[in-house]
Amino acid sequence: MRRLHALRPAPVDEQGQQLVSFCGHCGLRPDPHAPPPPSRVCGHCGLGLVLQAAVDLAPRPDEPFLVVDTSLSVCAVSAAAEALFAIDETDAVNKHIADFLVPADANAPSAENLLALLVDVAAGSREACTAVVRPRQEYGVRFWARIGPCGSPRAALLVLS
Amino acid sequence: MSVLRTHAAAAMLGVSPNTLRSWERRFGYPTPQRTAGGHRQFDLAEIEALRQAFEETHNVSSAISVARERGSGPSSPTRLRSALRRFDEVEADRILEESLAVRSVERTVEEVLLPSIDGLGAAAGESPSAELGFALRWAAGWLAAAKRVAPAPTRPEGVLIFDASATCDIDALHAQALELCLRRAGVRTLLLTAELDASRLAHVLQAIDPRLVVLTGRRAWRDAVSRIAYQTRGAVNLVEVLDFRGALGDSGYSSVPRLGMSAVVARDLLLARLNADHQPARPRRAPGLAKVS
Repeated sequence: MRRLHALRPAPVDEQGQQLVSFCGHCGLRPDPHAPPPPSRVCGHCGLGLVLQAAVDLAPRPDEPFLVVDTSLSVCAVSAAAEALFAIDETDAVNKHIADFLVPADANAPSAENLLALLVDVAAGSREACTAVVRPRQEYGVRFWARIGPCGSPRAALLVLS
Repeated sequence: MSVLRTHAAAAMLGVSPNTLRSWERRFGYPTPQRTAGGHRQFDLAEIEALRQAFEETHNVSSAISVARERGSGPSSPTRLRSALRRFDEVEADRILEESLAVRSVERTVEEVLLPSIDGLGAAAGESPSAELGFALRWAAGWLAAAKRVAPAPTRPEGVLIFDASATCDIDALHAQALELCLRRAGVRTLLLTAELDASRLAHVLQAIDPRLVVLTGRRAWRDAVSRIAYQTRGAVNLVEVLDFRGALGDSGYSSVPRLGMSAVVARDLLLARLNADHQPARPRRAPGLAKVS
């Protein structure tokens, strides 16, 4: 049975990029050889739903990340991001992303504006990209962020590194 | 109200029972009731709402937020209790209106209104909370309004209910619920307090001419209730006295038939008795009535 699961084709997105699954809270990747779980809830932490993203974009367990939908509301906050921003996920969900992160370069051209970027990615009209961001009300701290689509349902994944 | 035990609810969501309990601690949702033995009982509608939200969101906390905002589908005692705990009269009215769209008045009372207030009940010996006091007054008002729009009686027989419940007692609502159910079934029904002077019942017995007398409310002096039963039996010919929700206690010696704890079940039993006695004509008036008054 284990061998049969191992023979399953790896999932790919519309561009043919290999997708990996990860928990929307702890970031752990479920064992690809294990039988499919009965639900999307992460079997490890029990606080996240299993999402999929391109293998280059998906976070490692220690990387903080957020998931944002097309209305720029925060849909998920990883445990590492909770620690980084000193927030509780239950307080952060449904808040605007600008309450937590803003572009590090305020003079960036509109095409590179963080919020426009996130909306485009969440809507599926833009590929994965990178941006420089900083926490709101914090100066002198910058993060490189990988931004790309994830799902389901479709949303923008913002991984800080 | 459909309820699930912890393992069944966890299986429905595809998680372990421990995970479900951890959500209850962390998010306060889903909110289970407790059985007398302390076991959790989850509202099926809440679990179903959460299961649907998992398909539409990215994390458990956002799924819970969606399930909460959307409400748990059809009106449930949990939603009504939550509104009553917030003293939100408008929301409570709205939940019962929603329930009336999918349930009869009787089912709304039995499955939504009364269980929600039962869940707010104070433990024995404790004084009632402000929430319970508010909920009882609101529910009594709702039942009174429903009674006001009940159809006119269509049956000749009358039913008299003596309520011996105390202030801030859920039994008073059950008595009101029974009166409402009987009125909606076309039976002439009158609900009176059991604190009346038992020797001065002649006028009401003459006006209602009850075929059945129901005693309810567990907090009255037992001899007062017994006196009413005695006087009624002596005053009206062929009257039958019945016990609703244990008014006469569980001594085991009482010969008074019991109607159980549910207003709808009690109504059905009362109607069955009325129907059984409807065929032969019974004497109109008790000859000994004048002696009582």
